[in-house]
Amino acid sequence: MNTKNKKTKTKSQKLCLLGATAFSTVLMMPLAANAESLAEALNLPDNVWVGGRLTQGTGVYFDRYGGGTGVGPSQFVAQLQAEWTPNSNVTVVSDFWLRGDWYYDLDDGDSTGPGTQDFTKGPPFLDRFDFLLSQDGALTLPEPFGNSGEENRILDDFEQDVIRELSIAFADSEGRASLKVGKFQRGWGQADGLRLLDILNPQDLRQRSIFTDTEDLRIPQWSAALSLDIDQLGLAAPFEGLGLKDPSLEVIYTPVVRHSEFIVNNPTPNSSTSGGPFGLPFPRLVEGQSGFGMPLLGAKLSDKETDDWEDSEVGMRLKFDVLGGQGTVNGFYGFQDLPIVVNTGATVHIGTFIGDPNAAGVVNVPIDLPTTIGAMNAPGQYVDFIQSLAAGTAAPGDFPLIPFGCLDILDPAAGGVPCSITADFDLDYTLRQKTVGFSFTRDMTEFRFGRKDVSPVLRLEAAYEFDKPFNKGVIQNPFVPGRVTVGTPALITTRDDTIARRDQLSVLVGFDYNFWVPGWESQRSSIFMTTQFFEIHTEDADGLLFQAPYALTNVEENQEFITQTYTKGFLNDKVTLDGLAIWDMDKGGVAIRQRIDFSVGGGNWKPRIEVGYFSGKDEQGLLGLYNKSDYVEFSLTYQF
Amino acid sequence: MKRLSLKSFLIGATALMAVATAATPVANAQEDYIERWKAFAKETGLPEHKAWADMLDNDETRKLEKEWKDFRGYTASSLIEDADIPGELKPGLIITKDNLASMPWLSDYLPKFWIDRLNSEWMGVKGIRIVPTNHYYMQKALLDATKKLGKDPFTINEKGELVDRDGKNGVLTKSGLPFLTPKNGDELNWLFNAHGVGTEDLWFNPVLMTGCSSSNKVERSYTGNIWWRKMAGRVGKTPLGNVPGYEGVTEAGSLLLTSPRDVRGLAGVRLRYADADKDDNFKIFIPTLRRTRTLTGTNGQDPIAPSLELTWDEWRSQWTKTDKRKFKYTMVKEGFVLAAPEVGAAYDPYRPDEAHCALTGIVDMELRPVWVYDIDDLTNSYQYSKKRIWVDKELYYTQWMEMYDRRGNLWRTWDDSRWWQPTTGRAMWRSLIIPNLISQRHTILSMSSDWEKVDQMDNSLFDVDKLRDKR
Repeated sequence: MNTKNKKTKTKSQKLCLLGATAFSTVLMMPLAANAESLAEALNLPDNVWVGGRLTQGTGVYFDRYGGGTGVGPSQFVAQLQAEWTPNSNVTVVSDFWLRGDWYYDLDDGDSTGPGTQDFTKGPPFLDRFDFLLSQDGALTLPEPFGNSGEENRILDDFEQDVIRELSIAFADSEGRASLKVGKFQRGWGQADGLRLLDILNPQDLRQRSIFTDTEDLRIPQWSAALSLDIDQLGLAAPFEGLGLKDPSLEVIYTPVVRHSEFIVNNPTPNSSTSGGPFGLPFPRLVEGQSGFGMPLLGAKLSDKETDDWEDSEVGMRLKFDVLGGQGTVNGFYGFQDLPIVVNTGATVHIGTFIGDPNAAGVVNVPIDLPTTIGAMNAPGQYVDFIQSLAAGTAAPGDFPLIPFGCLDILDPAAGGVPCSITADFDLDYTLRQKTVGFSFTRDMTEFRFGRKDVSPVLRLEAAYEFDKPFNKGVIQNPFVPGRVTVGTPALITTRDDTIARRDQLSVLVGFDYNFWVPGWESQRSSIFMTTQFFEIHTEDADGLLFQAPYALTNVEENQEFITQTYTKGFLNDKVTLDGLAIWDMDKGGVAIRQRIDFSVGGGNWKPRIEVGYFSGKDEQGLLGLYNKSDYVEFSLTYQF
Repeated sequence: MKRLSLKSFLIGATALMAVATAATPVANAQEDYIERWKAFAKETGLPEHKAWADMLDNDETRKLEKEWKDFRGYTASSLIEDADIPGELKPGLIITKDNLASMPWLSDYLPKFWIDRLNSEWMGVKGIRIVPTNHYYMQKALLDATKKLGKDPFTINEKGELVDRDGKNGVLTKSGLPFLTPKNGDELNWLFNAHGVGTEDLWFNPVLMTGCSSSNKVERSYTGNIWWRKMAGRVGKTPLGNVPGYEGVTEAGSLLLTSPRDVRGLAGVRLRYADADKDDNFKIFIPTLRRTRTLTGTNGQDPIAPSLELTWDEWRSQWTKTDKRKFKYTMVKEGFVLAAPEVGAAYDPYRPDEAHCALTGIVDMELRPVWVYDIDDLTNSYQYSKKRIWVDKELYYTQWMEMYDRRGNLWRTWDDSRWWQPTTGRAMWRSLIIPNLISQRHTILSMSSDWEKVDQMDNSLFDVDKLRDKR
């Protein structure tokens, strides 16, 4: 009841917020249409600028989980920006936005994702329940799981989501120093798409994951950034002695640390969430040695976050001109943006097969971490039971929950009540990230080719992360020396035991090139292309998980990616084609995004068709996670 | 064809004015373009013409104009006077589609593009009004520096670089204008280069750039700031000489877009080196990435923004780097051209509509003495097979430019009106038109030259990482 009231209130607040935004925007549209800018329409002083955008999309998801097509991304953005420059030394920026997706309402329970292992199908338990991505589940068999995604229809947490930027920047007149304070984002490095040094801000993966525009993908943080022009300060001599010209230093301090945002499509009734087709699919729960699924298990996920002001991040970047190009040396002492998964215990639900703690007659028995570890890994317990099923040696009476009075899934006729277990996991963001690196970019004028003798621009970037934490996919069985636990059960262990730390070296080599097509004499503008090659080396990578809880996706010792982009305007730039392709060379995944942008109404109206395509093996690498997230979307943006 | 000598006309007109007005005593009434402007403004009754005449009518202007006239030994008026100009081609003449046929000589002076505008929906105009010819000049400090150069201070080497008597790059070692009486295309090209942007610092605050369709409708428009700084050989404004921290750089230009919203904050900085073998340093801050990117300096052939006809190589009309190994510079002829007057300080002679895509009626033009030279592409890869530039004999800047595609078809033209200060000789810009004659679309730039802020400019405007925070 309380929950319902809370939801009702939240919904009304959202509607108010939406209504206010729409109302103000409708007011602004005609004003903007009759003036060169909204600031002029509002008769604001020259040093004030106000603008914004309204975007609404509608689309189709195709090649969905379970097949077929259905309602696609229908995301909207209402954004209002303002800037005030009282003098040449001070700039104040505010940027607020409200985002959401009508998909959850429009789909109305049509699309599904993978749920927990389906115990009703019997061994090997590799079939899975469906999980409704836009409708709450009935919590009764045969299709018990679902979530309306209500929490993600509108991202309206004012501090976390709505404030896009709120900053004030001071610069001295001589250009020696500048200080920016507030909530904002900063980009580092030279790599596009995959992050090596662009680690100051976490990422918002909730709406379109890696296909989100970089600016929208970064999560701004409350920070202070001090930039010092060492040359202007008269301190450049030591650097110039090293051949480093025009040096400058940037120091960024972030006292309120955010982590990356994503949504797990979690069917577990007491921790159910849905991010739609761009939610991370619930992982297969598999005992790694037998390959059998692990039925009757769910996972309750809780965020373990850093403490504001006590846990802070610091980044430093020295920038300079060298070797005919521009280089940087970077250092970052912060926190991991993606979590380590740490088991904290479990709850045995006596009276339900589906982990529903609120079902009638259910008795919930919390068990502590040692007991949970024992229930999973001790001799004769869950892992042994699954392995004996796989070996064909399991017999009625072996089911480890029988002592709780639970139904023996090998001998239902023997009586008992249905039981299930929800494991409690912390998504732990409190582990440190310690990274150093460098970047270098240079116009390679020595190498000119193509129809117009254009030179490529080289982009290099390297990052070395010390003691990067990984979840282990293989652990020593705590009860049987010499025996290992593999797969999902390996996550049922202590924090110390699940975390492995490895140094990781990541390198980017990229080229940008303006391509003039041979023979196309009337080509009005070049095709701007970028090609990037990434190599990520992780020392002693055996048995590490690429990202828990995807327990069967290992870290490659040498992981390679190639990305390719192109942009070209046609019809006098009324139509622009923009393509992006990512190839995960080791996991075999491919992701392609093709945009067709149109410009009408003097550029105020921006229709767009966007196609996103993913191909990969389920749960294998980043791209494999979105294997069932292909979409076509038409969106219309009005900007003012 | 009956031709009156301009001299006869001027004598008559001046005599008439002398009777009609109590003219200020001047040394040479025939040469007094200021009086002609005042009379012309009275005749048209247009406030913008009066405003311009008032701007000219002061002792400061007369003094500076005389110093340049004495140094050069000619003025635009004297060159016109000495030429065989049709008598009908005089201030007050309004060329329309109705009287076009009566002026068969017109194509010798008025570019075909403008003649065609009299019978065209695309950028159509009702008429072209001839206004009195002005006398243009540059800063006093530049005149003094030019005088100090002495005889034959420069040569041009095989790469096309300007070389001083010591064999060093003259752009970096000397100040002043080279080759004031250019004998060939190479020399004229360097005289043109020396004009730069007509001042040592430039600030458009803002510039409105509009891409327009053949139906004179806005396809896309951008607003932003443009800055420019002469980095070597500065004589008129501190820092004098070469700007510290920019060794080897001759010019720097930067752009910060402020609208539309989706490109707001996009900042670009381009540094031009004196060394012909050193390509431009070109960096851009992309707000959607929040990151600075290096762009290749070898590709200046792309429009600076989608839908615009303005490419990076056409900043200040012709900014393709001088290189005799890649381009051939040939003096074609001397003569006269009708072009928009540099009256931007008082009004916009194109009179565009509010949307900055259509021209509303009468376009003002003045007769200008010019050298004409071709820049022929030797690489067979440049976007233009040829550029033909009409360089003003007083301002040393483009009065008209034609750009030909690889097949030899006229692709784009350039016509602009400067925001020129009669009292100082400094110039920025007021408006610019770049038509694309092949696809029949055009770009119009409308610029507000900020003469107050330009004196507060600093080098941070040419550091893209500092520029990003100045949106």
